[in-house]
Amino acid sequence: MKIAVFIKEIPLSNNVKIDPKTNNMIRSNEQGRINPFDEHAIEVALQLKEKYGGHVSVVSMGPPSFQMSLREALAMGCDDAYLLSARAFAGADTLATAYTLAQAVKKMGDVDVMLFGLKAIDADTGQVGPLVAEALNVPHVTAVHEIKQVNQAQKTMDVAFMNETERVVVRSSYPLVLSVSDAGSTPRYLSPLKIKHVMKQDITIWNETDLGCDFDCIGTSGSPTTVTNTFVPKEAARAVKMLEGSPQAAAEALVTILRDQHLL
Amino acid sequence: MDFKFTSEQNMLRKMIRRFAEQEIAPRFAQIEKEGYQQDITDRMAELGIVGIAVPEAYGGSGYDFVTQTMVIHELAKVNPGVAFTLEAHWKAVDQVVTYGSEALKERWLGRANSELFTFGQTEPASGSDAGTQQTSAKRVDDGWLLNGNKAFLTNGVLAASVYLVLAITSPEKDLENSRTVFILDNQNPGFENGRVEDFIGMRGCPVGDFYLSDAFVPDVDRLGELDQGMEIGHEAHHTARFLMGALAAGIQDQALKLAVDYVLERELFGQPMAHLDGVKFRISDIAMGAEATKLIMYHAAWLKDQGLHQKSETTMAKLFGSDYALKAANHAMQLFGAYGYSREYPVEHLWRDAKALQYAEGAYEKLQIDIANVALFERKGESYL
Repeated sequence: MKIAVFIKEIPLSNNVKIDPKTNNMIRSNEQGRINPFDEHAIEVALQLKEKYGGHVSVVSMGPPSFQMSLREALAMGCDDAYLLSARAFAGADTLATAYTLAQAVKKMGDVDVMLFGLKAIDADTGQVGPLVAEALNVPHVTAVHEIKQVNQAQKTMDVAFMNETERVVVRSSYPLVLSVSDAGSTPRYLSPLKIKHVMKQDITIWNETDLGCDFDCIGTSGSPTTVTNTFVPKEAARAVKMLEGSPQAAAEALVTILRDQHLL
Repeated sequence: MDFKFTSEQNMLRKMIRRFAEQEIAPRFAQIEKEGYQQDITDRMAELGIVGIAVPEAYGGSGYDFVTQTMVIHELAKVNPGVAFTLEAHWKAVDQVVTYGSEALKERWLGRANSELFTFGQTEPASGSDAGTQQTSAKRVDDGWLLNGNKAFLTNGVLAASVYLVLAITSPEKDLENSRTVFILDNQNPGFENGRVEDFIGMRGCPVGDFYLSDAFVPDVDRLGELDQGMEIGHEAHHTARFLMGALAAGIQDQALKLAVDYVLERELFGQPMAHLDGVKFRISDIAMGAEATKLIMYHAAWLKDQGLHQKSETTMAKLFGSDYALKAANHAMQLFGAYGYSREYPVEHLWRDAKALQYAEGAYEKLQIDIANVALFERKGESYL
C-alpha cells in the first residue's frame, strides 16, 4: 500500500510575524513545528503501514527550512520525504496549495491513501485535504479518527469519523483522501536512533518545473484569496463581581445576571 | 567556539522534553511517596532512551557525551531522581564500552538498552578512603570468586540488574594497582541484594547495597586488564561528574522557573515581589549559577568527546553544580515563604534532591582536594581556558 502523508510546518506560537504589505504570515527560516493534527495523520499512516504493509512518504510545501519538520516525520518512522519548494509557490492560498500537492501526488504515482491533518492550527481552514481530493477526483472523508479495516483485494477501506452527534463508519474505495482528527491516536515519539539516521537521509525537493505546474495555478497568481487585514483581537477586560449573602441569595443574584446577559 | 546544539540534538531534546512532561511530570507525587518506578525505566527502554549511550553496534543509538549530558539535563528539569538512574547507568556503560573486550561487550552491552547497570565501588566502611575496601576476587579455574559487600549503590537493589564490581585482586600491591573490575548480574548465585536506603531526596532513584558470597565470575567478564580497576573507577567518576552537573543544572532550572513564576504573581507591599531588590538578588544568584553550571558541564563533556583531559573540569561541574543547586533550592524555598517549607508545594524537594549531589560520585570535600591538587601540582597555576 502506497501511503502519502502531508504535513504543514507552523510557527511556534510565540514567534508569529505578519507581513504588513500582504497581511500574510511571514514564514521565516526560524524553526517551527509540525502542525499537531498532522502528527496524528502521520501516526495513522504509520499504523496503516504496520498493519497492512507498504510505504509511507511524507510531503510538505514550503521553504528549505521545512526540511527539519520532514526529518522529524522520518524520525517517527516515515520512509521517505518530499519538499515542494520554489519561489513560485510563495503566497499560495489553500486552492493553489492543493493544486501543487495534487501535482506532486501525480508525479509520485499510484498513491493509495493520502492523509492530512484535519486542519492547521495557524490558518484553521481545513480545506487543503478536501481540495486535493477534488483536484485528483478521488473520494474524501474528513474528521477520521480510525481506519477500521482495509480490503486490499477490493481496494476498499472502512474508516470511522465523528459527525456532530455520532460516530460513523463508512466504506470507501481507494485511492482516497482522509483528513485525520486528533481523537483516535496518540502520535508516537521520535526514535533517538532514527533521529541520528534521518539527519543524513536525502529529501527529494521538487519545484514548479519538476511538477509540471500550470503557472496560473500556483503561488499568488493561482490564489483567489486576498487577505485584506490581519489583527490580534483585543482581550476584553474582565470584571469580577463577588456575590455576597447566603448561598441561596447568591444563586438568585447569579440567575438574574445570567438572564440580564441573555445567557439563560 | 559554537554554543549551539546541532539539529540532531535539538530534535532529541524536544523528544525527551515531551516524554518528561507527558510521562514523568504527572507521576511526581507518586514517585515522592513510593520511590523508584520500574515502569518508567521500562518505558524509557522501549523508547530508546536507556540505550542512548550504548553504541549502535550493540543496539543503542550511541550518542556522544555532550548529548548524554543534554538528555540528563532535560530529564532532571522535570525529575532529578529519574535522571539520576540514567546517570549511574551511562557511567557504567561507558566503562564497558571503553575497557571491555569484544567478547565482554558482546555478552553484556545489548542488555544495556533495556536494563540498568551500576558500578559498585563504595563499601559500608569505605567511601572516599578507597584503601579500606575489602571486597576481594580470588583466582580459580576459568574465573574468579568474589566476596564482599558494596553499599550506597545508585540504582542498587530495585533498578539495576547488571553490576560492575571493584574488587581487590593483588593485595600485595599499592592501592592504585591492586584492584580489578568484574561484571556480573543479580541472577548470579553468589549475589544477594541488601536493603534499599530510605533517602530523603532523589526519590525516583533507588540506592542500596548487595553482598557477594563466592560469586563466580568467568574470566571473560573481567573488565579491562588485571589490576586496572582503580583506573576504571577514576574514569567512571570522570564520566559521572559532568552528568551530575546536568542533574544540578536541572534542579537549578526548576528552581528558577518556580521562583520566577511565583514572584511575578505574588504581591508584597502592593506590588509583585519581582520588583523588590531583595528578591532580585536571589533570582540573580539562581540564574547565574544555572548558566555557569551548564557551561562547566558541557565543557567537561565536550573535552571527553574530544578525548582530552577533563579530570578537573568534570569535578568542577559536579562540585560547583551541587553547590549552586543547593543555593538555588534554598533561594526558591525562601522566596516561597512558608509555602516553600510545605510538601504541598513542589519546591522543598529540590533542596532534598540537591543535597544528594554533595555525597554521590565523590564527597564534596574530596572533590575540593582533587581540584586543588590538579591546580597546584599538575597545572601549577596555569589557567584552564
